[in-house]
Order: sequence, then structure tokens, then C-alpha cells
Amino acid sequence: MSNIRNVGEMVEPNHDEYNRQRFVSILRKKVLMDFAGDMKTIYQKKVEPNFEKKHGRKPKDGREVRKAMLHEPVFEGWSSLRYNAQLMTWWSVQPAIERDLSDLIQAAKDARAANPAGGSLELNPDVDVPREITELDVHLMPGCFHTEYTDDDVAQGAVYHYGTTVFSGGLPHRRITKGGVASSIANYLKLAHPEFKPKRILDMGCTAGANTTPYKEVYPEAEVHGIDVGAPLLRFGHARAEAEGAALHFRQANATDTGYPDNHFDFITSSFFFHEVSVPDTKKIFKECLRILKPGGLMLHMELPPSALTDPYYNFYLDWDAFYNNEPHYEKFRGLDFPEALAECGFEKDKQLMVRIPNFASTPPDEFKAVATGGDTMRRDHGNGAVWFTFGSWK
Amino acid sequence: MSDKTVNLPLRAKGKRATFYKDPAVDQLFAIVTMLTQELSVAFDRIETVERMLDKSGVISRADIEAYKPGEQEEGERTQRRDEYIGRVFNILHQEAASLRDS
Ligand SMILES: C[S@@+](CC[C@H](N)C(=O)[O-])C[C@H]1O[C@@H](n2cnc3c(N)ncnc32)[C@H](O)[C@@H]1O
Repeated sequence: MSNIRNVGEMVEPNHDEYNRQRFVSILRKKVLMDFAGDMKTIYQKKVEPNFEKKHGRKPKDGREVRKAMLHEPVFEGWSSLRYNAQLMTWWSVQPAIERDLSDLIQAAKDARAANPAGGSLELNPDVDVPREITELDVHLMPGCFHTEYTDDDVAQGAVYHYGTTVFSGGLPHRRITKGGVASSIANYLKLAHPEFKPKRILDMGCTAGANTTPYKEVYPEAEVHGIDVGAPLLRFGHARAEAEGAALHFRQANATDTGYPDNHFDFITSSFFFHEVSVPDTKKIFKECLRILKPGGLMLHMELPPSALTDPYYNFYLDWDAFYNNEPHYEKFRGLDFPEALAECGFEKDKQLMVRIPNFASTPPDEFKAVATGGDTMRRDHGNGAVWFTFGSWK
Repeated sequence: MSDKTVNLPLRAKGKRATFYKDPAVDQLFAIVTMLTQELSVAFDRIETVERMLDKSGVISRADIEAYKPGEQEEGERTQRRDEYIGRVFNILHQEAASLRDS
């Protein structure tokens, strides 16, 4: 191990800051589990029956559920709490990051100079940052993914990294949330396709690399790359990976036009990425994936399940973010016909796949193995405690 | 490296969501949520102190009841209360801040 300070571990909140973070984590758990359960009960016991009385049928989609719920006090109160908890997540980590910022920047520079793990960082200040990122602070994270406040800035990488820890810090399985998607996909691939041994892997929209690292752990021989448009995220991600001994290659690039040669990657992936991208850009990115993927290679992205595969109430519930979390493309993305969209971009239908992968760390090994080697999972709830929806195609 | 201090922004770019007919209720909700957090933090701090006192066994509750802060300490407390109120009522400040930005 190197003696480079780990930017992912060095920020120390003081007593009250720490307890503010704990409060937010627990508030979010109450909102997303306990109060969400209350809201669903009110829907099932009151709102849906009232709707049926009036219309002679149940709501047909998430929009209709939303309309029926919009002025229910439980929805107003629940949404208010969720919205405030979202903002408070970032606020709870900002003061300590502000205080430690020059140290963080120095540690990132040290990591870059020594580069003990042998990864790399390639920045391109001319990269085209999409408008939905520059015009709206996605996830209500002030400063979004791209803002730089000073030279060699890593602040937004730190806010994202420490903030997401608070974000899920009250939920079950919290110790394994970082990298949960990638470790699930990688371990699934190993079991489901033992013959598939990717030599070069790309993670698109890698942010600070939380879901890039596990690929290097499961496929240590592979060259693992991550691209994103946000420079402070990439500096932070590279510095953390180097301090943790993971050789990852971070590059500032737009996924619509990556600049990689044709037929370059054996495996292309992403997590929580496409729902933040406009539908036209999504299609451009599919085409770009097809171009840079090797024949015989695999593209498999993790995303929210498409609305066609989930019930109206769950669609209403998931689409909350589209309305209130500055993720304007979320609902349109989930409304896409995935097989058609992939086919339109050149991925043959008989090579496509859509798989629900149970979360690796929280699923009993036998069950995980059974799903990977042919079964389907009965788990449906999206997320860390449950199952990840993935879609893609072989080339 | 530049050593200017960075102040990270508190306001998220984009329209602030409202859930109630009267946006004042949304503001009040934000304030109450922040207040709940601060109260929780205060309980945490009190609990820390009480547990440490308990362990060391040097200070009794009667000592705590009789305690009066000195002038400098009162100044520090005033400063803390001032920042505290700023955090709790931050939403009032935010609207002004956004008008200043625009
Ligand atoms: C929600 S985050 C992804 C989270 C990340 N994969 C993880 O698991 O931690 C979405 C990321 O996509 C990046 N992004 C958005 N549009 C992009 C584009 N066109 N090209 C590259 N990156 C993009 C954003 O900067 C942001 O970091």
C-alpha cells in the first residue's frame, strides 16, 4: 500500500457535523422506508378505491396515480421531507469539505504525481458538458458534477463521495452500498458467462469511480476505464483509486463522442447513468457503444426498470425524481421501449438482453448463483437490498 | 495552488419545488425539518457530555445547574446561536440570494 493520503477517507466532520449527517441518514431511512410504507397504505386503502369508485377502473399509469396523489396531505408532507432531506444531505458534508479542501487538493495532486497503482487521469477542459448538467443541479447537489471553484479542484467529487455515504447511511446494507451495482454485475457475469473474460472495460458516467473499482477486483487482468464530463469527480476518483491500490484509467469525455478507436472494448457498462441523459443523447450513446465495442463484446447497463415492467404505483413512486430531483429526462427514459431503441441503434434483437441481477453482497450466495446460471429472481424492488435492472446487448 | 477559501454554494440550481398550494407552507416545512435536525444534534452533544461526565465521575448534576458562563464564553455562545439561527432559517436567505444572483 502507498502512503498517499486517501481523499475518500480524510475528511473529518466535527462532533455536530457528524451528528447532522447521522440525522440526515436516519431521516432518509424513515422517509424511504417507514413513511413510504404509510403513503402506500393510504394509496391502497383510500386513494385507489376512491379512484375506482369515480372511474370504474384502477389508474392505468404512473401519471394517473400521481394526479390522484398530488394533493393528498401524505404526499405533500412526504415529498417535503424527502426534498429537504435531499438538500440537507449535501449541506451536511459541505462544511468539513470546505475546511479540508486545500488538503484534499494536495492529496489528489500527490496521488497524481506518485501514481502508485499505475492508473491514469486525462482531463480535457474543452469537453462538451451537457446542458442538463450546467443548467440544473442534478440531485439538487449544489454545484452539480462539473463546477470548479479553484485550481485542481476536487470539491464536487468530495461532495458527491461523502454525500452519497450520508445518502444511504441509514439504509440496510449501508456498508456495501459503494460499488454495489458493479460488484453485482461483475460477479453475475463471472457465473453466467465464465468464458467471457473482458480485457478492456469501460464505465460511462463513472462519477467518482465507486462503480468502476469492482470491475478491477473481479477482473484483475483487465484494463479498466471510466469516463465522465466532470473534472472534479475524475480527479477525486483517480486519487482515491490510487490510494486504494486500484489501477483505473479516468478520462474526461462525453459519452456521445468518446474519441476511442472502433472495436476497442470487450465490455461497456454504466450505472445510474442513462436516466440523466436526454433521449436523443441516449441514442447517440448507444450508437457510440456499438462503434467502440469489439465484435463478440458485451454492453450491459444498469438502470431503473422501464415503466412497462413496473406497476402504476411503483412508476409514480420512482418518477418522483423526474419532478423534484432535477432529473428532467428520467420519466421519458423509463418510458422508452428498450428493445426497439437498441435495435434502432444497431443492436440486433436476438443478441439483446435484459436481466435482473440480485444485489451481490446482500443476496445469499446460493440464490445469486441460481439466478446467474439460468433462473430468474423473484425479487422486484429496485436497489441495494434487492435487485438491479440491467439491459444491453452482445455485438 | 491558490489558497483562497472556497465557499460551496447552498442553493441548488433550478426551480425550488413546492408541494403545497401556499409556498409559505413549503418554507415552513423546510424550517421545521432543519430545526428537527438541530435539536437532534443538540441531544447528541448533551448525551456525549453526560456520558463523559458520568464516566469520569467528577461533575454532578447540581454543579451543572449552578453553572454561569463568563463574558467571553457568553460571546462564543452568542456566535454559535447566531450561526444556528442562520442555518435553521436558511430558506429565507436563499430567496434573497437567488435574487442577488439573477
Ligand atoms: C448519477 S451519476 C452516475 C453515478 C455513477 N455511475 C456511480 O455509480 O457512482 C451520472 C454521471 O454521468 C455524468 N454524465 C452525464 N452526461 C454525460 C455524458 N454525456 N457523457 C459523460 N458523462 C456524463 C455526470 O457527470 C455524472 O457524473
